[in-house]
Amino acid sequence: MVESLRRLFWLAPLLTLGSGALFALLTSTLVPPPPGQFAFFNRHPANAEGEALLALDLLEHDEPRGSARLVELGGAALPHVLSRLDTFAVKRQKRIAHALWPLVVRMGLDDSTGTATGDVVDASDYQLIFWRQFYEEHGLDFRPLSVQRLVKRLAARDLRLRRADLLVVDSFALPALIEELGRVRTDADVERVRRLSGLIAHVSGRAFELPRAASISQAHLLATEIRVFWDRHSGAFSQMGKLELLGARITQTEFSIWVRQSWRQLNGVDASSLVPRLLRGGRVSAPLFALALLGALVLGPALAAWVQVLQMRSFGSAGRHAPIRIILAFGLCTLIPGTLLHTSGVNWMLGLSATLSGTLSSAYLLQRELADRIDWRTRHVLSRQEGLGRVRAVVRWLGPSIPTLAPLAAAEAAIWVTCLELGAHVHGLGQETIHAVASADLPWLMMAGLSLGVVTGGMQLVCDALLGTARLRWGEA
Amino acid sequence: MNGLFWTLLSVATACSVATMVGLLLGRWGFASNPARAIVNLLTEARGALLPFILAPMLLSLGLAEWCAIGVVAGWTQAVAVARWMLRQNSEWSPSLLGGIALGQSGASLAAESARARGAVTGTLALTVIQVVTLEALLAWAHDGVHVRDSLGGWIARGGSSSLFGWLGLTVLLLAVEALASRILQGKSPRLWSQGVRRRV
Repeated sequence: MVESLRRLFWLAPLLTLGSGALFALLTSTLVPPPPGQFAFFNRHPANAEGEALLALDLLEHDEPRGSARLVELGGAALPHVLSRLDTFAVKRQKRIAHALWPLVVRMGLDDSTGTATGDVVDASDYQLIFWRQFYEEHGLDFRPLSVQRLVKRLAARDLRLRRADLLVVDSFALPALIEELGRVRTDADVERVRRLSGLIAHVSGRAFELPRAASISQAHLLATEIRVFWDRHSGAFSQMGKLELLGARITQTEFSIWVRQSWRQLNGVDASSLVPRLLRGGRVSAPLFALALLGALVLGPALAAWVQVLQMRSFGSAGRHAPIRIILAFGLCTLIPGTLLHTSGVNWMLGLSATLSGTLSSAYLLQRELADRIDWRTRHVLSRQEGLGRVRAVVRWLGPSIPTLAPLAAAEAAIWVTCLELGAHVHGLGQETIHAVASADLPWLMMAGLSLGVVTGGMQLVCDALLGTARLRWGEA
Repeated sequence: MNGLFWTLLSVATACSVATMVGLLLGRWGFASNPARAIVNLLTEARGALLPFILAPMLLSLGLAEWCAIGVVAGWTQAVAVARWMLRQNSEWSPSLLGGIALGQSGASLAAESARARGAVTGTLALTVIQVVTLEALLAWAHDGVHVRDSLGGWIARGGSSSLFGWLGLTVLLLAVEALASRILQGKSPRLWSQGVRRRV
């Protein structure tokens, strides 16, 4: 009991370690991270200030990417760019002001005077003056707390004025806007997502708008899509202190993104694409898996016990029943691959194949185990007993082997079921996993691996506890 | 014929890995508790990393197909061997008790007794089925050249109508069983004989 409890307490840290190890294995082989992304440690995490300075450098070197990046960063870069504006030469200041100019329209500010002059020199002067005045007037608006308050008010009610205030800070408001999306369960949530997503789409330049008569599930999907986008791009729009930047070395990695997304899906915050696939595949695979396990843990041991009881009917008759082992081996070699790989999609045939596979493999193994455990002395004694006595003796020897077999049989049942699904062209979880391997579907592979690991671990824990109890009870330990 | 060669190569690799690693893990488990915990962990990993996930991983590292299949099937069975060894039906035979009384290592004798279990031999024999199944799965999913030509690939392509394949597979399984029985239990290769255990 104490041993079982100790192992139960170890499950959580083991699961954490296991998921890390599985992730490392998958990303180092089958699913390499996208270019520029890191699996576990990001030596150069993105933050708004760093990205803004990088864009300014690009601009200085006449790289067109520089101005495009500045516009993309938008309000998130403004505090860092405008606060440094006076430290640059006038020519460079004008170039920066010009590069930032497209933001004026996006932020809903009046730009008519600047474009109406038509004179390039005047226009650039005007743009520089505009941004200087803008920073004097709105510099205090670029504070996370005030932006959060504005976003909360907008999330609660549709206020045009608040929207205009938020447009002024542009992408600086993105972290607060995305945090405020929240769960989507009611019509009120749909309205909130509509208000916020409109602003997010406007600021980020991505198609995140929600249609007028959107349903709850549509809004939920859109909120999920926005958060998935944000998982990868949040760094460039986030204002970070030194400590946060240090943490970002871990949080801006593929593993951290996977953990966040999985956690949100488990909590129902995000819509999960895995759950529908899991339910659809589970309808096919779960009964087959259960039948294969039933065969392995009930029918197989029963067959092995029956064969052994037959063999013990008379002392010295092992030779006469020798073909049984060969028949079992032949059955194993013909029926398992034969039925697994060439079964039609008929339900009962699939079920029969799954049961047969589990039964034959465990019967073969347990019969081999029993045959070696019962030596000539035991055989001699048991051959003189009544039928029931022999059965009881065999069952007592066989019993402790079943908990040992169970966690091993679970993994094998999963393989049998996958073979069956591929052979019969039935779409189940096994086939889904094979496709996930081929298409490098990391979330699915992680989910499949971890859930099977947990099932095996749970079975192992329960079975070992049962084995311990049986030994104490039967005095074998 | 060429395909059967790849299967035989995979089976030989798998059996070698399963025997060596399995017996080593089992023996180590008798000597220390952390080793038992590691075997438990590996059993969970065996469930989590199904062979058809692990084999493509090894293939992507540049391992030859027969080798990847052999290593994966061998690792799978090695964990099973270690589990069977460590969960022995621990009757203390007179020879075992006598050995311990004479000052021999209890762990060593227990491990020797455990490796002679029928389930360990049976697990090694079932490696053949594991290899063929894995070949068939990879032939479907990845269509590798060697995998396609192997026995598993041949069965997956519909070659099951020939009795020759099934008989070959059965002979292979029984041969592995006889060999494992000879090595681990010191028994006569005659499968139907109860034989005599060498030491235990």
